[in-house]
Amino acid sequence: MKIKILLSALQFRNVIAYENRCFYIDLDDQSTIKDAVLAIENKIGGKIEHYLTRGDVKLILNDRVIDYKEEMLKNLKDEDVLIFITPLSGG
Amino acid sequence: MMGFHGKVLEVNLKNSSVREIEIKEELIRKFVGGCGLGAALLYNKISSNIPPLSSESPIAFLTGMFTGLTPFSGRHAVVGRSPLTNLWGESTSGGFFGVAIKKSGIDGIIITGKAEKPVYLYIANGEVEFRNAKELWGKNTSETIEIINKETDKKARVACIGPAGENLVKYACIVNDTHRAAGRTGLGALMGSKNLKAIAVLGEIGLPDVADEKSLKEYYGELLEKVASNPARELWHTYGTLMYTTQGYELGDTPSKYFTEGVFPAFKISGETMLEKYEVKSEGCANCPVICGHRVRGVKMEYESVSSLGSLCGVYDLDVILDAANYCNEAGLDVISSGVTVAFAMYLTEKGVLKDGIKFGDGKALLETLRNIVKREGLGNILAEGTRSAAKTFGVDLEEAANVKGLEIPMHDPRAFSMMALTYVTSSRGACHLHSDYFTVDIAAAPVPELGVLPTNRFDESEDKIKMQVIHQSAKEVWNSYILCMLGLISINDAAKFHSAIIGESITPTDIAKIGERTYMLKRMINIRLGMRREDEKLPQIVRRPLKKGGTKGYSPNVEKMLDIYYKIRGIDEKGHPTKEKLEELDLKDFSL
Repeated sequence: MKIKILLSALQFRNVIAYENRCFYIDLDDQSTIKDAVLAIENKIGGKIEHYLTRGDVKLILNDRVIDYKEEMLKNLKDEDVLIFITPLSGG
Repeated sequence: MMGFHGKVLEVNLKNSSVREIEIKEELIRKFVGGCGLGAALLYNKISSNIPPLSSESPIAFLTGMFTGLTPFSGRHAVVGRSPLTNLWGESTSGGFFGVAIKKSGIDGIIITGKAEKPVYLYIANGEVEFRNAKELWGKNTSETIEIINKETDKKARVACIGPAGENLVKYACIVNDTHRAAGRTGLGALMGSKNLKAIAVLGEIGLPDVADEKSLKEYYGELLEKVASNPARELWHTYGTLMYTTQGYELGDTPSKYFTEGVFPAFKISGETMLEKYEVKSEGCANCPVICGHRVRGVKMEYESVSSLGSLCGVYDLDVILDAANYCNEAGLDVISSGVTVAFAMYLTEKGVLKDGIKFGDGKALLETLRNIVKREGLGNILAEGTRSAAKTFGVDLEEAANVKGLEIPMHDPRAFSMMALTYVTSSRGACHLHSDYFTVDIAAAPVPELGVLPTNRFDESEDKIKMQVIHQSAKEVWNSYILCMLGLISINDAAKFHSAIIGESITPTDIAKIGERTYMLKRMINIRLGMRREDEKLPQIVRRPLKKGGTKGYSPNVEKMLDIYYKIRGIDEKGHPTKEKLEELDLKDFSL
């Protein structure tokens, strides 16, 4: 299945340039959110999971923020969208 | 009285008189301070037959319960009848001016009347002097503050208007401590209408007593430690609100080209680009452990400035945006209303309504139009009245004017978060992104688990979600009464602890939400007395039309449906009036409609 990824969080700028933040990953059926995160780490060659476990970066799955620690084993489905953002407001 | 000196000065500029108003403990218990206290104090001084810019129309500068006593409390509030909306107007600002008021032995200043000639007030430790401002009239804000500091005391803190306020631009702001602003609802024009150029305050008396100083110090230290260990602190310090441009863009929250496009080069105007391209200096407010303010190339910049003067006008040249923001800061213009109004003119050019008008992306035209707004020349004179008024003048459908109740829509697109759409239509001051800043809940930046307010699907319009918005909106009302910074590093539990220590009684997060509910309703009652109807609580079509591309994903909020549910939850009848039962529950029966 294809999952759309947007690595928008500011903390990721040292591992991926802004213009490359959007891409798709191919995952096997029944893959989990954690599987997606590990696949992203492999693709970009940098570690990002610790930001999620610490809560510095939040993960939005199809328009809803998820708690990574609680939901990392949730199955994804084809065409899901994962947006990684820095959870800070903007004036 | 704990946390307050118990007195506000009432200054009449017509006859240069000053009298002390005693602030009763009961009023503090019910409304806390800041904007809430302001609404209670001005309730009988504002009415539909007193136009906002008439000499009888009052304007008040107020401190809050927390001012100077807790972290994140370096703020003050300005309230009055907005000349832009003709309804309740309020705005808060950071810096050091609020703490100076509190340290001068008073809790606030109410100003009425009109001076015969331009004046400024110098308040040294509670004593008021009326000073000639003839030489200051026409000067920009930085120069005004510099001159007043030379004429009075270099330690004095100054809030002033620029030429925009003098020329009664309906969205003129009040600037303090250089480039901090009480930006929204045009209260700078109120000062201008009174020939009041500035207020300088020297505060050396000290802060008022609190009930439990030991606990207050303990909570202060605990919060500082908590903030220091929060990874968000470093990001706030490094980027400030500028960091939001790229984050908001991803969700369709950052608007472009007068709310008509969802895809644009956001990175060009991002905080990251600014840090790379320019010298950036941090600048904080009193009692702040974060210091999130930023001077970029010497210009105080925030997310709202970048988006309103940049992407909303289709301008992506940072030098131009910095020049425009600097001009607004110096002339004393609200950046949000300025950007929206100029973008509206650009939109009308694109639609063929304005022949040979200004075009999206034309930075030179942006700057020239801002100057013409301040000078009230040509097109600028029409735009100086605000977007709603300009639409009427141009004979354009009001659904094309990006405002709610006359206040221009801020840089959080209501198609990105359903509850921001509801917030805009129900906020006391019109399209307000702070009461509540619900987008911060749905991106998990600042949920309020203590009150059950948690992130859910950002497009959800269910009753459960609206219940959370009502609670959040009420709680955030009190932020403008304490007066606290909105950036989210102080929780409602922290606020309850500080409140309890200051007054010596146990206050819970639920108590805070109840105070906020009362304050919200009081402001609604003021608006009803000023003529607000249910029909005014609507979102114009320009921000409801689904966008084909971008992070809003084609969502259009169903505001009418949400408003019906909202009214029921809030205890508001079909006309938009609070029910008798609700007024009794909130102990507001002393305030008649």
